Amino acid sequence: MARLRPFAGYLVLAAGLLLVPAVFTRVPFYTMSTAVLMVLLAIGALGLVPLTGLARQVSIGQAAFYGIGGYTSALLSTRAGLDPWWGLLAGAALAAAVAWSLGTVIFRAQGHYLSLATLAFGLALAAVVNELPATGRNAGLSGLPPLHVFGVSLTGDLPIYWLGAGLLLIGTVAVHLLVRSQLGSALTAAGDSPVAAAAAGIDIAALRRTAFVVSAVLASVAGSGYAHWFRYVDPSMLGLLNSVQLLIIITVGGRESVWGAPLGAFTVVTLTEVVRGRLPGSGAEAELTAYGIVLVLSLLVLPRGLAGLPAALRRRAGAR
Amino acid sequence: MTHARLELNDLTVRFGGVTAIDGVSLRHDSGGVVGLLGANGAGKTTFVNVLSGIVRPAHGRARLDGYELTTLPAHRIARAGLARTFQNLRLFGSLTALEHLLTPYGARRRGRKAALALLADVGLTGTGERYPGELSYGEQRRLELARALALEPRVILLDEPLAGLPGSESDEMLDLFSRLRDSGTTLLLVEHDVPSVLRISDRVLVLDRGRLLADGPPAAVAADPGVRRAYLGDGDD
Amino acid sequence: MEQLLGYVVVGLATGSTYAVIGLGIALVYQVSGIINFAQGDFVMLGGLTYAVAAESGAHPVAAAAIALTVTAGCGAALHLFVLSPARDAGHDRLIVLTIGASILIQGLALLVFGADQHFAGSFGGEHQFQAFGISISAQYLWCAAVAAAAATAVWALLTRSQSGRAMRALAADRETARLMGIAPLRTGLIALVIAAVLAAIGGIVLAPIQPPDATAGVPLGLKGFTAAVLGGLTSPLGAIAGGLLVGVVEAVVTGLVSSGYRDAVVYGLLVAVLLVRPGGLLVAAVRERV
Repeated sequence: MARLRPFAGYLVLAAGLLLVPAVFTRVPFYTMSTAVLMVLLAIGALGLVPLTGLARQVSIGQAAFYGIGGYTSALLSTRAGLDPWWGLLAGAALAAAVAWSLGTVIFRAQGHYLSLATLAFGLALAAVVNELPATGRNAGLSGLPPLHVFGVSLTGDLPIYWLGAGLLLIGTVAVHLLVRSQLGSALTAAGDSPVAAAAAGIDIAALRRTAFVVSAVLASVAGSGYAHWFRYVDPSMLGLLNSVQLLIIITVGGRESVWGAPLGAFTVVTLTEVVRGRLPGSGAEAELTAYGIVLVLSLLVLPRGLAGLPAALRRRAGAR
Repeated sequence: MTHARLELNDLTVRFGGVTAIDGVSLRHDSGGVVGLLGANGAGKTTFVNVLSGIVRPAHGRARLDGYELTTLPAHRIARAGLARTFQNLRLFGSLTALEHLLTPYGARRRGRKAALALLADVGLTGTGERYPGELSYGEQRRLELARALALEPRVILLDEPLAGLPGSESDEMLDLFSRLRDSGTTLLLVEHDVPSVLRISDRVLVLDRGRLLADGPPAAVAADPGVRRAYLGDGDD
Repeated sequence: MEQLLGYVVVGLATGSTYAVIGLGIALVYQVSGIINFAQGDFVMLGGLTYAVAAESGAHPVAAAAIALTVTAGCGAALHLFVLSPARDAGHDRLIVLTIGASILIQGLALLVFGADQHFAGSFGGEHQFQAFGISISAQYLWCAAVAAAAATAVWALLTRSQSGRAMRALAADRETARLMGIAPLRTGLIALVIAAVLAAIGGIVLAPIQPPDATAGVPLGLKGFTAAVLGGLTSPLGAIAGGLLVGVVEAVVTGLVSSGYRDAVVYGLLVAVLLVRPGGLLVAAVRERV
């Protein structure tokens, strides 16, 4: 039974993703563009499962990798005229290289430097992108071509949604295999007790770096996807709020489980839409307050997030 | 099988202005159980921490079979053949007992069967799928020992492995240590329980305020007037 | 060259406010082991409450008292209702919790005060003075003076009072301090309230120079972080030195290059320090003294 569960999970996720277009085009405040946003954010948040969920390392700079993906795609497809898929791959490779180099240095020291270093790196990169003529300063870059599959351009929300849903499914399976592998249990061990893990011969620094690289690649792919969907990138992609949003998604959804990413993305994007739709006016204040409340409450009441809810309920029922 | 060779040379550890280990030098290459005694704050845990790479010495060296323990990172020390347990248990809360024994370096290669055998060796048959939170305190202690053994170490540092165990379980633990010694592993046993240490050890070290106060066979150390005055006679345990 | 000295003066004055903000971050980190990402929002809350009270006609002293009280209360609430209930959580969860608190405070400030900037006059009226060829607002002198007074008060508190000694004991050795009967939660509460007060002081003195709005906290908190990290995160004196350094670098880059590159240089410096010397730039020089 326990062995069948991941497959059941994949089926539920696939079925959910298949149903989204049918449902989202028929109910009031969901649209296909919110669906695209959900799958892209879920892809970005997925990388935080090994890093934050298992290894307990908090990154507050995922938007930097999201931006690296977006801007690499934009530069290569508009300036160099390369195929969008090359941009996506190049962005992922660049993000991996940057994360690998940063991780090599950051993880030499014990402590909570990752959160500070990623925060600082994200801010510095955002400030540079905002000033460099090559990245179009604060105006950003526009005119990106759409992605294509088998010669068909993916324009409009629905085709992009299918692509994103496919990538999310592949990403979920890949991260799930990683979580269940030897690497996954070593990451968990390092998160539970770094000292004991090191005493068991586990190279914590190298492990954390691997998880960081995985998170950077997924954020970058989400950023490239976003760039070719919106056909435009600007420095706000690298904003602190985007990093925080990914962190909220994985915390609310459940950071110890791959199902946390889609669950969290669905919940947080829904919350955004509800708050924006119900409360007239600018909405920014209500949105922020709602984010804050949801994040704090989920950490206090549901530390394993929505994905941990069934287990928590089972435990409570069993305790009785 | 040759025994592990441990060499300490003027090993000194300082925290701020406090000297926790003060110029300790010794050699050990005859295997068996080395007991380490000392009052609270004598530097016993620091001794274990510096050998396992968690704490860096101010100066001095420690070598295991030619590996420099004082410069290697903790995980490389473990891979060099030095395993340890912790005074305050440090188990992996989100891993099952069996996963604990598959996580250490090299354990995955030896396979699931070896891990299950190890679990049986420490008397934890049938607990493989349980999490540490579902084990008794004594079982958790044994799981931690088994995790250290999964490294197949040449030296194992045991930081108060008997603490909090009832008499029967503590005897079982001592039996386990004897079997380990007979298999050629060198054991460094840090303990508060003086009679147990004197009974099982082949060599006893006494630390007092970071200095090596006595070093020799159990009977000689127990009879040492300096040790009796500074430590055993006080009976502050 | 002369102008450069002028920028340095302005930088030291603004930097002194970053120093008190960073001092609060270092204090909380030392005592509770928590990296408090809501510190910037305390700065905003202090500055904004002060500016709104001053705009509505309150005497500056009364406005400052209101702002300090509100922020201190918010700091206490953060500790009592958010951090204490999660005291058994790992550092990773505590970090995310303070981020959540930061967003929450920002959102509440937007709801209460709206999105507009609020203006407060300079302390003691608008005065400019000339130094090294540039004209400098007298408010900068207030910044430096108030920050110096606040830092001195914290130093006195840490060295002379019982809670101060408890804080230093916790910072030095948590386990031993607990064995000596020091209550980590209660001491952590005091540290967080002091940090909130320091943040509010920074917010109040900066309000006439940089009129605050509800989003003003994030950049200021980040300057405080840079200050604290440059100083090694564990050292109050280091945080102060770090704050002054951030202020000077910022003012010189703005004056000589362009204000656009200011953030890139400051955060680049932070990245470089974290990568090259994670223990902080100044930690070797001050370690023994704190």
